[in-house]
Formats: sequence, structure tokens, C-alpha cells
Amino acid sequence: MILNNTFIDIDRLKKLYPNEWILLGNPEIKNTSVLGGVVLYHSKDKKEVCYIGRDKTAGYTSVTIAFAGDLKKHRQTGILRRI
Amino acid sequence: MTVLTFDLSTAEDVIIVNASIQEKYKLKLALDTAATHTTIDSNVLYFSGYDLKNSEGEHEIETSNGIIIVETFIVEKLECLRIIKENFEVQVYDFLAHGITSDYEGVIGLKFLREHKFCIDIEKGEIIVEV
Repeated sequence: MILNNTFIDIDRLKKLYPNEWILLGNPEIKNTSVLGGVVLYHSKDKKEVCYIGRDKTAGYTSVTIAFAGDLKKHRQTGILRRI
Repeated sequence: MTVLTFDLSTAEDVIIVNASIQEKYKLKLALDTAATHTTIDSNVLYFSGYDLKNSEGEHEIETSNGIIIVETFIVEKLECLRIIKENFEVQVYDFLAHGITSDYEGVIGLKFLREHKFCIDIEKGEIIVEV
């Protein structure tokens, strides 16, 4: 885990934390792509990032969770309507 | 009028849009015009500062994989496509517990968009919204 205030771009994040979920402080986002941010927490377990990361976002204007890899093949849709 | 872009360059692509909860927590949602309600991963809602014990109730949802139970929560401020809704009801479901590990955290449904004129231009990869 890295806890300094250095902005790291997404290409570097993919090399540092391949296929991990990364909590980013003050992320730079273009369209829907995360370009980078300050690493606040990272793990292969997204639930861990959500639950442990929640307490690490103070002092940041915005935060997001990005995946350092490609998940397109795992995409699932199909939530249709309330009964 | 606001023009936002999306990428449908591969067969796996769906229309992904940016959203935020409380202006701080940035997430990605799939724009699903077949979905009536907005649904968000419960892990992300927890991450955004909500206590998952404070559900407004449960509902049954029809999905392509069968009936599921979701809980509903009122989100103080949800922004998506430059549209801001306050005290907006969302459905919450534990995506991770059910093996859903997409790179987006839910779907934005028609109820969110109901009072707005919007156009999806697949050819240009643009969403035009009148807020």
C-alpha cells in the first residue's frame, strides 16, 4: 500500500498494481476513463477497497475506485424492472 | 444542452456514463434504457458514506438471470449526465457477493431521466441532454 500524495497515471498504476482495484484521491477523469490519481488503497478484493478505503478519503475533493486491468469481458447487465 | 461522449468500440462495450454521489464519490454507471430504476452496488454505496442498515425497504427485481431482491436507499445527491437529483431513491444490490465484477458500479435507469429530454447518438457516440 502506498500512502503519499503523489499523482500516478493509469499506465503506471497498471504496472504497479496489475489487476487490482485502486482507490484514488482527486482522480483525473476524461470522459469515462480514469487517467490517474493519488493512491489511497489497493487490493485484488474490491470489497476490501470499499470497506477499508472508506476511512481514507478525508481531505480529498473527489475519490473513485479504478481497476488496473480490463474487465470488459466480465461486464454483466440485465437488471430490468421492479415487480 | 449538454453533449457527453461514450465509447462503443468493442463488442463488450455498453454505454458507460460518469456519476457522483454527494459530488465526491465518482462512479461509473451503465446507461440502461431497459431499466426502470437506478441500481448501485451496495459496496460502493457503503464506500460513499451510507450505512447499509438504513434501508428504506426491499423490492423484487426481474433480471435476465431471474428474480433478485434489492434494498432501496435515498441518496442525498446523485449526479449523472449533468442531471442532479436530490433525495433520489436507488436500488442497492451486492454485486460482488453475486459475482458481478464489472468495471461499472450499477445502472442508471429511466426514472432518473424521466423529466429530461435526452438523445443517444450511437453513430457519433454522443448523449445529448437537456438539463
